[in-house]
Amino acid sequence: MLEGIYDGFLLLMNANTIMFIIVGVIAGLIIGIIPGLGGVIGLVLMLPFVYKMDPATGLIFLLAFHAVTCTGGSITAILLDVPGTLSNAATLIDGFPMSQKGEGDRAIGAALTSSMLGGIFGGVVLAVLIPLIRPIVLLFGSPEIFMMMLFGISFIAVLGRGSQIKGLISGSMGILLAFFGYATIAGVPRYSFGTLSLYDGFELIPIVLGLFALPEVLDLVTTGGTFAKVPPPAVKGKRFSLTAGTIQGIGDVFRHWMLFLRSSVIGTIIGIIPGVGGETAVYVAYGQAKQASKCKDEFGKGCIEGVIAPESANNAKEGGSLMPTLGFGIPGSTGMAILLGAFFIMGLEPGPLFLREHIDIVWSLVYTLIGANILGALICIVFAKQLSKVSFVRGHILAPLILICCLIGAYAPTNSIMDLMWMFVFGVIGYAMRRYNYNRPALVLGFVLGPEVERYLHLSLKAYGPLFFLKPIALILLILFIVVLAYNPIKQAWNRRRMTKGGLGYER
Amino acid sequence: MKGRIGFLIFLLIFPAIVYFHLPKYSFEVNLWPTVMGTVLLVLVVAQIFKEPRLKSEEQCISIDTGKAMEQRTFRQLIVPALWIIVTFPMVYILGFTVTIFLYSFLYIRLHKQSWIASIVIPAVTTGVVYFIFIMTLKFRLYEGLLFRFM
Repeated sequence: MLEGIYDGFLLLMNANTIMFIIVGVIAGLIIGIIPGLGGVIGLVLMLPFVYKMDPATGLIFLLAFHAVTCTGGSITAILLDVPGTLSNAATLIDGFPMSQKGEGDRAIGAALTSSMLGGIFGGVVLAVLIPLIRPIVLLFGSPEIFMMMLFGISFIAVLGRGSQIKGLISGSMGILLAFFGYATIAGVPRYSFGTLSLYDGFELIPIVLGLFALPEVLDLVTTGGTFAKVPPPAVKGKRFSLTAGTIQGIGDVFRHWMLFLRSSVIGTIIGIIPGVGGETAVYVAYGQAKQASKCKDEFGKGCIEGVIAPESANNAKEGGSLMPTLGFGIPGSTGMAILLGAFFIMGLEPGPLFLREHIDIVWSLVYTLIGANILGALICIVFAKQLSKVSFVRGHILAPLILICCLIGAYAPTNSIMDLMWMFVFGVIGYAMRRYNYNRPALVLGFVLGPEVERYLHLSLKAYGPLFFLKPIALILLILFIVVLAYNPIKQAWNRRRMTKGGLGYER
Repeated sequence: MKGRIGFLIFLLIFPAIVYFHLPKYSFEVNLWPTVMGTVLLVLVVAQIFKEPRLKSEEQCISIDTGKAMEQRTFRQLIVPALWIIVTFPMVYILGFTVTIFLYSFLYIRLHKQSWIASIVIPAVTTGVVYFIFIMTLKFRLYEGLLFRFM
């Protein structure tokens, strides 16, 4: 175990990796600041860059990028009343009023400090949990891994946005898409229609670019304006933004250390639960801050506690969501679903085997999470107001640049022009899925895990026969799988019955 | 509602492909796709029956801002969509390097941005792409049909 800790540290200690961490953090802050591009979309755009990198370096870059998007997003939330990412939505409730009262510097200082410390908290919790879950995952064989993957897909499909049936449709579609191409279990091309482009099946990057990035590009091309409508804040005479207000905001986090701790715990726990989005963590943290506060009436009008709570939670959740991703191969969030895809692109398989064979990479990711949060916060504290101007870049300038990234990204993995065509096809599908509220992360997860689910199914059948799911851990996971699927329909039926008895009409 | 039902009918293509290919492959190869194809078929049919009973159109929520998004009509989308789709034949014929410059120039200029922006941004973008992808990451970008014959 100690070797993994030391080897993980050694992985980071070379100039190339440190450079990629710095580049990843800066890119993450800039993308996080641009509303509509932060979080998932930004991560999808970064995927093609890592294709030819060393696996550890590529994952470190992506995690450094992803860890700080919420940090950057808090700046636009506070200064411009537009959340940079979904996880910053609660920050603007009190952050923007503070900015309007002339306390923007204080809010930013508090937000960035909470983000940094929350991210460190999440990383430390992850570091503590790894040695605890490792003995558990060592007990996992092929039946348990099969059930775990199925459980993970159903969790994301059921708990994500939109109806349960639509989530399951997305997940099933993703799994079916994965079956196009070479079937490794039998060595035959499957559903290729005799075409070379489908011989190896679909590639992940054109699918995610089409599903997530192209609909956003279409919006940019259609609207064309700037994301931020509020005039940019004037940069004062000083070169840097480290004002007395910023320092006061930093101090506020330490003065409200219990609030910070509670919010970070909430963020981490919710991050651990797969499928529950980042917005849940921030609103729960905001809600508990308001309930526990001595000045409830000030919430919504510019209360510093209303900034500290969500920002602590939204960075802490990343450490939490990495835990099921690395330990069980079940992504804890949409961003982790994309990161999971990156693992598979690199030839790595997160889950029980990953903790056994690549413990050094696991620890390097823990260090990256902590280091990226520190670096991101320090950069933002100094350059907050300059960075906020990025959100005033016009859509008509941004759209062609993002589209070019998508084109290169779709082409780069296999040097096949047909992948561009598939990206556009999935762009149409992605637009339709977004319009009709289908769960796109569930499709990606189904696609990524589909081949592995099939492989472990066949291994389990060969080793244990058709009753492989009766093994103790596999049986528990099967029961949980059924509970997850049945929970929503039973709850809805129960609510309908209660409302009908109460004389209220109900229709979904 | 037509659009929602139309999308669901489109999704039936996937189980149809699985069932159509059943005789071609062995039991092992067909097993899991058939299970998932059947699951998808049942779910899609269930959703098709559920759609007419939905009282109101569900709001389309942005994955990154969490806010409700404006629903656009086909007419509003056709020109923006063409701006995106045109990149495919451009790349196929002219290759990446020329397309990056030409497309960004035409797009920015025809959307009434300044001449300076229309020239500087495409030039910088082409340079950055060349530096990052070709020189640093050693990608080979497609040259285009036109330049292959030259």
